[in-house]
Amino acid sequence: MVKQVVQLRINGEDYEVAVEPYRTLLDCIRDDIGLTGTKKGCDLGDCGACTVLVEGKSVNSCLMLAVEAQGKDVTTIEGLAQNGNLHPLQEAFIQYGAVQCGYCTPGMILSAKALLDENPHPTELEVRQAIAGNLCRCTGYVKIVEAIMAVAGTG
Amino acid sequence: MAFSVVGKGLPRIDGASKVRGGAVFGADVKLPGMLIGVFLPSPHAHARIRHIDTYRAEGLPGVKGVVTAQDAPSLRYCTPAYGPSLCDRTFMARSKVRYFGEPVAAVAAVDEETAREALSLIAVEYEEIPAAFTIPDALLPDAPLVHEELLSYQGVGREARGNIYLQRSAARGDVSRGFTESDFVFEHTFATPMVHQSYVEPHAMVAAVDDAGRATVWTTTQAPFNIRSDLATILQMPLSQIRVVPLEVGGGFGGKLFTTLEPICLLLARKARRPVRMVMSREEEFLIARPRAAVTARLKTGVKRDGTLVAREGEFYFDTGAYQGAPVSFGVRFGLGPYRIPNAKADAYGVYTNKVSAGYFRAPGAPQVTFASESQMDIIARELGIDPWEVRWKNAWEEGDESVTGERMGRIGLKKTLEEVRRRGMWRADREVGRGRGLACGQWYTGGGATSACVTIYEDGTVGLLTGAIDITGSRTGLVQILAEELGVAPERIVVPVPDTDTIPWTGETSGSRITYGGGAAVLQAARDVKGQILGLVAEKLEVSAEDLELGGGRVYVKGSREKSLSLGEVALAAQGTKVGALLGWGVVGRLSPAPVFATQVAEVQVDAETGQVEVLKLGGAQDVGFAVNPLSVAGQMEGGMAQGMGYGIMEAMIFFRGKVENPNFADGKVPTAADVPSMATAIVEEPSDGPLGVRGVGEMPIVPTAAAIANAIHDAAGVRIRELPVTPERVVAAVKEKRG
Repeated sequence: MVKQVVQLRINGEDYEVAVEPYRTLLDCIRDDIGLTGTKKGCDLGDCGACTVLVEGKSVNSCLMLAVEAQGKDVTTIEGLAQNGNLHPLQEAFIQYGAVQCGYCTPGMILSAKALLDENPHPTELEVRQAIAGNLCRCTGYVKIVEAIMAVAGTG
Repeated sequence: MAFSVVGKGLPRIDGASKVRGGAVFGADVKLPGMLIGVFLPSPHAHARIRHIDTYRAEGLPGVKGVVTAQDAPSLRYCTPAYGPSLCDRTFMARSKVRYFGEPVAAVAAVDEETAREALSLIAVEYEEIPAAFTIPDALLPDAPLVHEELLSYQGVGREARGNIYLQRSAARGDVSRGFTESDFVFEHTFATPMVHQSYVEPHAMVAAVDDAGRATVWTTTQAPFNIRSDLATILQMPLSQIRVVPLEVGGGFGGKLFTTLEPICLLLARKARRPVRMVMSREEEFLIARPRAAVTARLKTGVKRDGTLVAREGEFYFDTGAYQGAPVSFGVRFGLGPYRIPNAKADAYGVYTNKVSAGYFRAPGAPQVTFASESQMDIIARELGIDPWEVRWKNAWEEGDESVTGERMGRIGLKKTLEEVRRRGMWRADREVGRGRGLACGQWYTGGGATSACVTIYEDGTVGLLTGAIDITGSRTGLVQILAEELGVAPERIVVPVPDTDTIPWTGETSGSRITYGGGAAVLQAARDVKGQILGLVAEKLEVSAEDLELGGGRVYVKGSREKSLSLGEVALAAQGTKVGALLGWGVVGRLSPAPVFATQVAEVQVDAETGQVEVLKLGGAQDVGFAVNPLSVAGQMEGGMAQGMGYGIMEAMIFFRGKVENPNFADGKVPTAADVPSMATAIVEEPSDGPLGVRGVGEMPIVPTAAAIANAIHDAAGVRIRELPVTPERVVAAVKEKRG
């Protein structure tokens, strides 16, 4: 199939890549751009490991085509730290023990960021609902919720 | 003894790389010229393979290699590290397929699309034959045999017959006399389903072969040395020609203990003369990875009027699927519960069926049999009108008690965990309408496999720790804490690069909650070794006796005189110019005796009797961890284990139709989300073991009693007893209807 050239703005940097029209944003980010912090857990939109922010909204990047992201602002986990300083959510995830195997972590943190950007002081229920699309098999979510609530409390 | 580093809830040392997205998992490895490999799954549960034609697939542009079982020597293998070594397994189906999804052929191509297209061009001629899908099917006298040649396999036991490949038994006292002497005898059957570990990271690996024929395999695994030996056996390669590089494990829970696609991936790389990456799709995970075995348990228990156990007999049938691997012996070891039973008998059977091959999942065997045993304890308590807590307290093991397998308890914390759930108010009598509370105890053990560790001091004072122990629970952080404590350095001054099978001596797999126990012992040994060298060198330099020296703050001091000191960096540098050369401590620990572990959990649920919907409102657990090296990490393990136990209790099951998994994804094969799991309380009990710092294994225990506690709570709330997992709304509604008549 003929490839199309798409312009993507990922973590503030411009990329131009040629992709098949059916290529997912996830495969494009991981394999064409080479940012492997975004994870593939199911490729079906069920697990949330591939969550990125597109124009600030959390998106399962396995359910979005790369061509659909043409010209859009995409944030992956690699774009969260600023000048080498971790984002408060990243800090809190470490401090509160919210990271175990780490495979769901990038997507989980980005879902949390999308929530807090829109709703800086969520209730615990709102936090749980906001990350319900991000499966974590290690933690039982307790410490993830605590970490997000801690950031919300200080934000 | 006062500690400064161990016993503290330090954040994980791998946290920063993981929150940045920098940690490297299997699918993140990319090599120049790398191909993508995929396998052809069997479309039948039981069929003879008449012919495989790969000609058209090989001719497809972009295809660089096609392999079938014919590309490797014909042999059956078994992983030697595991119990009864019945060699029934082939790395790919050869003359017949025994389960739906079993790999039959594989392709490596320039991209996944091409590789999958090539699969569709492989023509396989099958002859379907009758299959045995369930335990009752498989035990029929004229049942189709999953392995017709079982009796000729290497390692087969005398008990093997039909589809039963393994039997394990233990007994003490005289159960028939025990039942006669009992005031009441209870007999029930319980059933649990196959369940996938559902780690979020699918199996992923890359294989490459260099010009000299030496192979490197990067893979997500809990057992790199087992993968190496399996590859050597299967492909008949010298062990020394294989390097296995373990990567971060994105959730394992026992599901990454065994060799899966690695031999196929390496064969493809050898044939294509290019590196090959294989990553399982989520559906393939459900088709061919190694889930928890389904178990049918029959329990017969005799008690005195006051609840004292007199006799217990258990029969446990493990559905292993197409190949051995179900944790049958654990059925015997844990099936009767952690109780004093003068007359006891346990028999466990491993049964072949035409389904995916079962394996290990967090405390393998224990959640299944504990669901049975703890559900029945609850039934007994309620029938006798005794508090469920009391009946357990009355019978619970104490020091000196002996299990049916003859294991004699040393100091154990079972009763302390029972005390703790009551003291903390997790277990109490009050209750609201429609709500219920259930209690369950559970047991597990701390495995004692071998571990190698090596400690070195860099000339800037950094301490390097190498260990073959794969970290799946945060064990690296715990080992760093143990090392930091022993050497008197800050944990931040320790680096822990992950070695591969070339660079660290043999180490057993990460299983049996053993790393902080056996690995901790190895690290302590290595730390003491290097400490001796440091003290010796400094004593010479400062012309004092080694006994007069102490370590702290990354320095070596003369006791009582803080001025006279050398930093560890200075010592390492000094060593380079002496006959010492480099500071290097080794610790190799062999098999340690297993330390028992116990937990008590309480579930609080709300049941809607009309819809059958069960909401778990609270989970609380008390667990004996011996000594909590890192309480934050321990709590995280307990919470994660209870959440999985909750999934096992009310949500999770692999649903089969004629051997085919009908729900091979997270939409239909549900696991708990953040919106499903309740608030959880954890209580740490510390009854020291004989191991390093008194630790006991932590990771597996918490999943063991949860499902039973929830089922018991459902009975408390709705008056119905569900004896089959998961407790779905359909089952609750049916039971409520039946009860109402």
